Parts: sequence; C-alpha cells; structure tokens
Amino acid sequence: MADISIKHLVKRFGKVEAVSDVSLQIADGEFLVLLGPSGCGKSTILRVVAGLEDADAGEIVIGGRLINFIDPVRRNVAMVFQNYALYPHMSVYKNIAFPLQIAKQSKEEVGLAVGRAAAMLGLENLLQRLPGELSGGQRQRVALARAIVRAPQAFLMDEPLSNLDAQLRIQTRLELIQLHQRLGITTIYVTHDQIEAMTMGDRIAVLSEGVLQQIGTPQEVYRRPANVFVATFLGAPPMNLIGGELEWVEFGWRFRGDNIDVPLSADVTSPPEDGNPADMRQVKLGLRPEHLRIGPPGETGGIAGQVQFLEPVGSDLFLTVEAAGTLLQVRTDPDSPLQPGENVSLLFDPWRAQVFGPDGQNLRRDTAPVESAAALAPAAAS
Amino acid sequence: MMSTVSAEKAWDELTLSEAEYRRAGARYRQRRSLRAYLFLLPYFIPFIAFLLVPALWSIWLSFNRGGILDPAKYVGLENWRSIASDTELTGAIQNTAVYAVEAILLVFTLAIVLALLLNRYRKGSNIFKLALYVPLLAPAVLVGLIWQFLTNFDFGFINLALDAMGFDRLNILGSGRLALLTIVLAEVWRGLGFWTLYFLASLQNVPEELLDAARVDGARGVQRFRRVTIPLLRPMLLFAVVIAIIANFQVFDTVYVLTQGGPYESTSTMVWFIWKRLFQFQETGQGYAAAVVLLAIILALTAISFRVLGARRKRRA
Repeated sequence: MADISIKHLVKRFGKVEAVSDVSLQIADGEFLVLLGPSGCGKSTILRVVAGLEDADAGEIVIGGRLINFIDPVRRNVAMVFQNYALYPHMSVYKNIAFPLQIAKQSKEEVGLAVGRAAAMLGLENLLQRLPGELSGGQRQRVALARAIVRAPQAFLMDEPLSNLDAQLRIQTRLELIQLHQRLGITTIYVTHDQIEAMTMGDRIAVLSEGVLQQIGTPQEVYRRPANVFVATFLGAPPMNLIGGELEWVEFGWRFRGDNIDVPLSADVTSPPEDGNPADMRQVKLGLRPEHLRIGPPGETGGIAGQVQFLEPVGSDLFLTVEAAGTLLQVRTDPDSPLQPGENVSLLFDPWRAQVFGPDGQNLRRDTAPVESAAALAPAAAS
Repeated sequence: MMSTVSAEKAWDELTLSEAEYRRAGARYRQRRSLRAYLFLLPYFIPFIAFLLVPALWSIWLSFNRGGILDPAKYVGLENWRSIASDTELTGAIQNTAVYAVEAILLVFTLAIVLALLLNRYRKGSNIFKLALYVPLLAPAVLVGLIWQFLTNFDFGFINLALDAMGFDRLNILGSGRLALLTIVLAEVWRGLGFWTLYFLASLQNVPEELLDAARVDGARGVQRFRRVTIPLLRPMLLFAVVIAIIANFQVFDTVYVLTQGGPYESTSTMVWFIWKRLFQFQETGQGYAAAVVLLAIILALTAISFRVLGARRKRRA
C-alpha cells in the first residue's frame, strides 16, 4: 500500500498532447476515479503510472519512490484491463497464479494465495476452466483475482466494468467497493461512466482533452462544478445553461437575459468594487434539472416558460421547457398532470445556481463547502 | 404459393403440414448449397485435373513399366521391390530429412527473431521487409547461381576470402556434409523473407493488452515470449510447420543447380531421386513408386504435426 503523486505529467503522441500538465495526489488507501469522455487522456495517465507508456515530462511517485525510470515489471502495481486481458491458453488457476509464478514463489505459497483470492471472488469452482469457457462477469472476477493475488502497492483499473451488462455492472460495482473497503489498497479507477464515478470514488478527477478540470469529492464536483465542462459532463440530463449578464443591484446579484430576470445569492461571485465590470455581461447561469420547480405562470422570481415535451422514465418525469430563449430540462414528479403547450414558471433556490464567466470558469472561486452557501441563501434572497 | 393462408384456417394454424414443411426446407437448403458448390467449382476442376487424377495415376503407374512415351505394361510389385532395395532412395530419404530438419529449424528461428525485431522497431522496418522478401522473388536458378559464386572452389567469394586470410580453400560443394549445408543455407536465405513476414503478421495478432498485462504482472521479455506469445502463436506455428514440411520435402531446384545430387549422391533428395528415375534413367515405374512414398511421408508428417501441435486445445475442452 502506498500513496501516489502524479506531478506535472505530460504525455504526447506525436504532435497530440494526450495529457497536459496533470498533477494529482492520491492518499494511501484512497479510491480515486479519473472521469472524462473518451480521448480525454484518462487511460493514458493510468498506462503511464503502470509503466506501459513513458511520460514525456513530470514525475510519478508511488510510496515515496520515483518510478518513472523503473521497469513496469518491478513497479508492483496491478492492473485490471477493460477486456480483462486473461491469458486464453491458461486455466483460471494459472491465470491467477501467473504473477506469483513469475515472482518465483513456491508451489505451496502460490496455491494458498490463489485459493485465498479465488475464495474472495467466489471462483473456487472455476479454477480448472479456460477463460473462453467463462461468462463476462466471471472473467472480470478472474482479472480482479489476478490483480489482488500478490498484494500490490496500487490497483490500476481501466474501465473494468464497461463490458458487462447493466445488471452485472451494478452488482460488480458494489463488489468492487466492498473489495476496496476490505483490502484498502490505493486505487486509480478510470471510467467514462459518471454513475460509477459518483458511487465508487472517494474523489473524482474530471479530465477533458488531457487537462485536469476539477478534483474533489463526488458531492463537491457535482454541486459546485469548476467550469462549464464539468457542469455539463456530470448529471443526466446535464446542467441547464442560460446565457445573459450579471448585475449588482442593491447589495445583491441579479441575472438578466432573454425573458429572464432573477435574483441570485450574493456569493455567486465577489461583489464588484467599482460599477459593473464588463466581464459580467457575457455569463452563463447554470441550473440542474432537479433544482427547477414548476409553478403557476406569472410567479415572481420565476422564469416564464412553455412545456414542449414530456419524457416519463418511470421514477421521474423529465420536461423540456422553452424558457429564457432556450430549452431547459426539468426533473419533476412522474404523476404531474402537465401537458405540452402549458405555460408555467420555473422556480429555483438562488443559492443553488452557478454562474460561469465568459471563460467558462465558475465565478464562485471560494473553496468554502456548499453548506455555508446554503446558510447565506436567505439573506441573498431577501 | 404455399405460404398463402386459406380463408377457413384460424390465424395461428400452420399452413404447411409437417411433411410439406420438411420437403420445402430440404429444397431450400439444397438450393443454397448448390450455389456454394458452384463457387467451389473453379477450384475443384484444376484440383481434380492436375492433382487428384495424376496422384491416383501415379499410384497405378508405380505397378507398371513405361507409361509416358510407351504404353504401360503391368509388372506387379517389381518397381516397389527394386526401390526398396535401392540404397540411393534410403540415402535420399535420409538426406531430405536431415535437410528439412536443419532448414526448418534454422529458418524458423531466424524468422521469429527477425519478426520480433521488426515488431518492436517499426521505424524504417519496411526497407528490411523488402530486403528480406526480395530473394523469394528471384528464380531458384538465380539463387543457385549466387550460391555457386559464393562457394566455388576456384573463384567463389568464400574461398577467395579464406585465401586472403591465409586459410586453406574449402571444397564446399565437393564435400557431402558442406554441400548439403550449402543447400540448406541457400533455401533458408530464400525462404527467410516469407517466414519473417508470416511470423510478423502472426505476432501482430497477439493482443497487445495481454502482453501489457504480463508486463504489469512482472513478466520480463523472455518470460512474456515463452509464456504468452508462443502459446498464442500455436495455431500459426502448426500451419507453418505443416507448410514448411510439405515444401521442404520437395526441395529440388537448388539441388539441381548447385550439386546435381552429388558428390556421390550425398545431396540426393527425394524429388531429385524421382526426377532422375523419371527423366534420366527412364525407370518411370520406380519414379512413380518413389513419388508415392514421398506422398505417404508428407501425409504422415502432417498428421503427426497436427497431433503434436494441434491436440492440446481439443484435450482441454
């Protein structure tokens, strides 16, 4: 077990910079999720940590040891691959035993360790089978068993659940969380699935085009996205964005735009020192679908809109509402009697709103926890 | 026609009786397989005309005297008896076996090593691939001449070099062991490009992810090669061994150009023996009998290769 530091990592493929100056500090025993769309560089970071790719710049330190120039063979990290990467010509037993046999452990030691790992993952009855005779879920377990069998310093997991069907994925997700709780081994987990990221990660690092966008607990990243990318990447449907301008009026911020004029809490950004700065003229208001409430038309402080489409998904009803010159997604009660064409007002708690500047960055630059923003809300709303 | 639903029948009643259903199915499948056979025809006609019929004819002619220019005359087992006691044939079989084992082992080893290098170092590898492949494009006679120039006693490059360095000249093609080795080297040189590209293609079939996994699992280069690459190459290796056995047991043109089977029949191979019986000694019956022996040997070796290299998967399943 060990902590992992990734310092100013750069990795290029030809002229393409796959990873640009990414720094991450992962505590001993932490479960860190690298989240991002395909091609964002998350798998590359994992492969560099494993030693399968060389870094072009930057340092990787595992347990106080600089490992950039250590062969992957001697890094003592275990990796779980997307396609499992089981050796097709070896039985399950031999697959799990492989790292130990390579390490020249005695037959008895190997047998004991394989038995333990197999028991932990419920593979005792499959040890003599070949990978080709196993289901996807069973193969996944064999890959995990091979990873845990030699007690590595860190686990590196590259989208290990993406080839499983939906039900199995949920089940294996829980098992992975339990496994991590039991073993407490530092884990870097790569995924493009935000549900996996939110449910599994102690912290999430969101990446886009090789650049680290934000790192924080799932709550922090979801509630206070650092920029437009994170805001729209996390959440399904994603955060609604409305273009407009921010104005300081009588000790509070107001957001004005096309058919919208609403008060916001005072802490969306620091108050202006002298007049309204120009960079507040082109901002985006961000509101999550679940933070919008439906009210009768004409409600004060609301956004006037007209219902366009209904999308019932069983547990929720998603409405598409034309408002503020754009289409907004609203999550509401599945039993709502609303019909397309109805006029409504959209209401929200001002303290939940995020405002993004012209550069796409969240204007709320403080690092105070979200709860304190809630405490400020009544004052701002008055 | 048969699929039209008659008005009196309920919607969920089947329109065809069981017997009709079976007949219609059989007709449908027949039509489909007929089309498949039509596609196979362009292959099968030459296969039958130029391989199957001559092979069977050779078996028949091995019991006859004559048959090429003069009418065949049945002589029973006479040809078989005379080649059975012919020491040149047993020598030829032995030479062919020695040659084939040496050539296959050497060319496979070199080709796999080169393929591993080409697989690892991609930059500029096309030039090497081309250089390796060119000898295959050269006619066998040319290859033979090149090796003549290398090995000739008076003006061969090797002997000139030995001379210049103050060593005695070697009568390479005049000594049985060295002459056979020269044929081995000539054929290895000729086949190396093909087998290198073949193994390179095979290596590129080995999933990168498995080798990555083995690296992270702590396996070094040689361990990865022995425990992951080679087992995964097994089916490709089987094919290569079978093809190489078939090709190398028929070695002829290099022998013809370089040694004519000499000295003292020490480089006489099976096809050389057959050729001599057929076209030099007019002992066509013996030639055919020897050809049947060659066919039997090749079939037997192929079967053994399948057993040794191909069996494992079946046993496990």
